[in-house]
Amino acid sequence: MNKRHTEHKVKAGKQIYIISLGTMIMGILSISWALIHIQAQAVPAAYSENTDLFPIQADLRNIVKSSIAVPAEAGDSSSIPPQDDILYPIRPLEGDVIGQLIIPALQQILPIIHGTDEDELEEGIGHFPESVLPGENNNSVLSGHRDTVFSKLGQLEIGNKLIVDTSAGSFTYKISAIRIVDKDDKTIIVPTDHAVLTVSTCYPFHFIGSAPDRYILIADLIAEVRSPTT
Amino acid sequence: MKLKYLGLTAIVLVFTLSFSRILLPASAAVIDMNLGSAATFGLLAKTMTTVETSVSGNTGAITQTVIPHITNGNNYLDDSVYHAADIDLGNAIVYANSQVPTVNGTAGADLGGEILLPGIYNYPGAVNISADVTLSGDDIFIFQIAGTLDTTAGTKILLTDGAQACNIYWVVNGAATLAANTEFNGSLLSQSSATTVGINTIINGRILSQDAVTFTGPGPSNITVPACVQEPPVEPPVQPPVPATATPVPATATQVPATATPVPATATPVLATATPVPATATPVPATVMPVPAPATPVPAPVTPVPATATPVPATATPVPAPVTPVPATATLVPATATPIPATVMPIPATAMPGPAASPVNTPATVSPAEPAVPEWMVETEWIKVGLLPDGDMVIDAKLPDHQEDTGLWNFDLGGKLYNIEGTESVKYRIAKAPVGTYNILVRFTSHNGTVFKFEAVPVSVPTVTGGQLPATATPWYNLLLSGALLTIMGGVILWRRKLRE
Repeated sequence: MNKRHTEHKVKAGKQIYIISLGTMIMGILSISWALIHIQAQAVPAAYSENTDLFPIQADLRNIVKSSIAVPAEAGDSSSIPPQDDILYPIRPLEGDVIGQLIIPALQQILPIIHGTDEDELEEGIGHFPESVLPGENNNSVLSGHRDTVFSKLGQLEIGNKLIVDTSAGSFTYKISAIRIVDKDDKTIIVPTDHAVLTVSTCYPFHFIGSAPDRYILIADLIAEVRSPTT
Repeated sequence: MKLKYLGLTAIVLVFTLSFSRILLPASAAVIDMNLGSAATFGLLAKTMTTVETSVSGNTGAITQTVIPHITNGNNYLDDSVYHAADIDLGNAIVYANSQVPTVNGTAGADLGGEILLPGIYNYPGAVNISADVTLSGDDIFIFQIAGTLDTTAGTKILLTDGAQACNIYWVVNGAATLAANTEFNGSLLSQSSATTVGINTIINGRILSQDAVTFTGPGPSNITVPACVQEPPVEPPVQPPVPATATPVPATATQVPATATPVPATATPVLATATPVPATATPVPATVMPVPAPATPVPAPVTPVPATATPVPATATPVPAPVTPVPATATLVPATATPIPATVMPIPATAMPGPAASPVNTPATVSPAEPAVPEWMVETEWIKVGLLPDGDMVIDAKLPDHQEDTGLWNFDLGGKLYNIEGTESVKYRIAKAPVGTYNILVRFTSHNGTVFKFEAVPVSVPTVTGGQLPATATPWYNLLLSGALLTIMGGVILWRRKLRE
């Protein structure tokens, strides 16, 4: 009886040993797998000064710096927009690349894709489809992963510029506010009376697990140079 | 004592694994409804009874009374092809029923008169369709019906806003009965109960059953295996910068390749109106009237266009757009040789009763709320465009001069096309209309071929109010957390065991 009890104890002890060891191995594998993916998701595009910009975009940026730049104006409350307010006569479909975001302070050039599902966010910055497109007279919302395109977003400060190049032109925004809000905050994606660029990502940046907050940059349009045909 | 640790380990393991599942972002769950080899079958049954039944697609059974009239397919009788499809059907039913519902209905629900958005609808009992039901939106619909499904004679499953029969799945556990003259859209998947189909039914989808399917005499009935139509593949409106490009490619170019759009008739010059309308400050007077030669009295100066047999490229010259609210002008295009076939949607939707008439995406048990009144952004004599509180767009359009007609209304919202069958007046509700500033082009093609083209209506749809911040979490940090928890847990258990030893 005693012997049987001892055998049972030994057997149970082995089971616990195997289970705990297996759990640890599973955990280590999960950590390795996650770290490999986090490291592998490099920023999609590198930044360089104008020389590396595509010719037309470089030209546009130079114009922005000159006095020709058109200052942004407050939104017109008229419900019927003039035809020359139509920057994008054909609206994008989700998954379309609509332009690029240039962050001079971080020396980054990042592609912008229409849509904010995982498919789009894997490719770059996602444009929230229920917001206006960059350059249009309202709140344009961009989102990206904290561990890929926006891993350095926390380094930006108020006053830094964000430049969005699209086929409609080049639109320069200046960061006017930085906020940290709950992920369910409903005061960020709202209409505005002038052209605003809202950039969001998860926060804290290195939180292990599902980040509970969002890091928000709010930038106002300060200059725009439209493509000749828009 | 050791057993206690074993139990503890099991509990922690289960907890951790559950936790890691919960932590994964919702976007990671993607519905991939796959019928496998059963997808090629229009009619699949263990026991098949058909009477004057036409099927475009394959048919298969273990026993059947007669072979249906088959086009674009073959009949497979108790062979390997049938059994492979039968197995795939079973897997598809299991998969469909395993999806987490987005809308929980009630037993005995009546979908008649409802407008339903894409989602997973779960009904714990019987479902009736006593009147037309509208499915709106280009995404997947799965109806998990634990009881029976019954349609009333003459009812229709209507599709709007890009809803497609290929994306609709009716997974019925009980008996399914489609009454006579039902126009049914979607694939009806049945595992263990009989399916009965009445006479003169039109099924744009599939009847796939692992039990008996009976078509009642004398027929006829038609089944057409649906094919998914892609969104109009318009050129990306905003071109990504291309290094080799010397000049920017503007979004305004008429990049809509007519051959690629799902509306064949877009190849006609009419869609050329999608070109950017030159900005002009000249208001457009309400002058050009779309009145055929024997015109009825009209208030404004009339320019009757003789109904010649020669198609007129009505849109060769873009019409200047108004900068102030003016009555939209409409141009009559004499009967063209190529009227638009309504092929974008498998079954053209009929005029919607309007936003107030039927609640959207609400279970049948919920009574209609107070009618939502749109805030009109643009009001012209014939076209009104407004936004509902929930962000949906409403377009209220009518033919000039009280003309009575039926035909196909086309709405082009910045290159995104919407079609609807209707009469001379239509109220069309569009979920997820494009946001931003663009033109809405409206055209009406009557069944006799007459085309009315309205002046472009510029609208400015604002950013949504109170939008949910996008989920920007990748699953990797969640996996990292799970891994850390597992490692710690394993380490602690091991450490405790060593201590005991």
